Amino acid sequence: MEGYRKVEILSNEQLTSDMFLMKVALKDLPEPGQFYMLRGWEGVPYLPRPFSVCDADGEVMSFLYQKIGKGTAMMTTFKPGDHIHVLGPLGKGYPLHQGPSALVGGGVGIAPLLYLARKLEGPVDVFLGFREEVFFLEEFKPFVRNIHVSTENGSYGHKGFVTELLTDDYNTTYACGNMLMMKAVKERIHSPLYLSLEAHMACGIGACLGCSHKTKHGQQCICKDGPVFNSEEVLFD
Amino acid sequence: MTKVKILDHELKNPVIAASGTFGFGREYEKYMDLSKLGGISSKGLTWEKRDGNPGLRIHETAAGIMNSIGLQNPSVKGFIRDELPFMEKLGTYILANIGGSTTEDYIRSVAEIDGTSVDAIELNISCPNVKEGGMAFGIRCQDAESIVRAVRPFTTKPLIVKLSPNAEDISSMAYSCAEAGADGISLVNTFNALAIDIYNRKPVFNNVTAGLSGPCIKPIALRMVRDAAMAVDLPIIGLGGIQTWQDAIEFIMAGATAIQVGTANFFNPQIMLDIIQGIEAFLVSEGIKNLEEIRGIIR
Repeated sequence: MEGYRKVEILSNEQLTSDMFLMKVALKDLPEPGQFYMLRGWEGVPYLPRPFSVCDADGEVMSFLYQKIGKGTAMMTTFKPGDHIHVLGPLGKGYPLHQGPSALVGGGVGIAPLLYLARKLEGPVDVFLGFREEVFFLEEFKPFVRNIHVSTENGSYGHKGFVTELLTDDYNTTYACGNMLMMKAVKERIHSPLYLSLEAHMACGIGACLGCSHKTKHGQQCICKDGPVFNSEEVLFD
Repeated sequence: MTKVKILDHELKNPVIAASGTFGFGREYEKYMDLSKLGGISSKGLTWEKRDGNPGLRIHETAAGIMNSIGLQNPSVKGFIRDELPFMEKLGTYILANIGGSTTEDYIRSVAEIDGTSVDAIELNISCPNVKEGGMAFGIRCQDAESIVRAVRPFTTKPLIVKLSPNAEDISSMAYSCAEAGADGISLVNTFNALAIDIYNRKPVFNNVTAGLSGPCIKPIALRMVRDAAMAVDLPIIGLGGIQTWQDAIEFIMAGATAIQVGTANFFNPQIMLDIIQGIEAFLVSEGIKNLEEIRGIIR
């Protein structure tokens, strides 16, 4: 019966020109790929915002976010000691299969992969796609075998999209990013593949049907039936 | 103390979950004891199952949201088979919200629901998000009157007509529905509204316009509830941007017997419990014995 909980912000660090990492005091240990609705305001913006768990150790939980709109701009102003409200953990996370595994993320879609890398057994290779500025490489190092990087402007690693680096020779591939990228990953990978989808959502609990997505089983809510889906089930236009 | 009587049925309190914001109750089971609610209005149902609209469905505004869900629902029969068995055990007032494209669909749906345990039918003539999604019947009085008249013989259940704020004239609309045999009126549904993506030079929504809800519509909704309450001698269920107990009391003072909470459920799944408690505390602190004392005092 627990709704929104008030939690303390421990740190709120800027990683690049528009990427931030916020750490809060939250003792949950969710599944990798699950998410929380976050609200650090009353009234304006009107809605809470969904963020997947970037890392959690039973004491501290971190959320990676990109400054895009009003909500995330406001989040950048939060200071240690401030409080926010969180609802979760929500949705279905990534199933943990035996390695070797590939983790693929683009931009802020990297968020759930760090926590996933920490939880997976067997060799893990991570494929990270950035626009220009690279971040989080050091954070992944303790948990992964190889790190493959692409940037759209070629300033670091492969010039182009991260999907171009991806090979289909892993037991399981786990991906997170925007719809176009998820579609591209699905076209490339024919072995077991799990996709974390993103969408605008109001409630985060399957009531508003704002994040409804077409699947083999009919319309499903990204928030409640996902955000992680077996790629076989997801249909793209 | 918070009990209200609506159409021979006593509700524990006047707070009802609005259609389309509460699914079939299941999604909120984790967050509250659903039996504490005054009632629940189901997601809008149509005769045929619908997948809803493609493209973006939710867009945030300054003090609310716009939605273009498009009546995604499991069909009337799917509701009766898969959802009603859960809802009927909740011990709260259950309204089946019925939408449609044609008179025939409305009649079939209403007749099908008539044989179930549902407490009342909320006839949705106000969904702005599907072509002929019901709002076609909700703009002009003669259209509303014809649809209410058409379905009336097919149910003995209380028939509550949910009005669109996009109606030409709310008072006349309420009056027409009453003349046609409605037992109650609920209002308002969402306002037809527009948002534009200025960089792509396109409307935000595939359907161009979408339904606006949330606190930004509350003062207008409140005025319309008063208009309707003065126009007809039927119970009124007021809604439109209610998110605090103070809002709820305002609607009751404007003439509503019960109220519905919609969009606010999205930012706080427990908000209706706060509203119920707040109403109770207000009655105690103001020495009000029951809500009848203050209902419709603003004329």
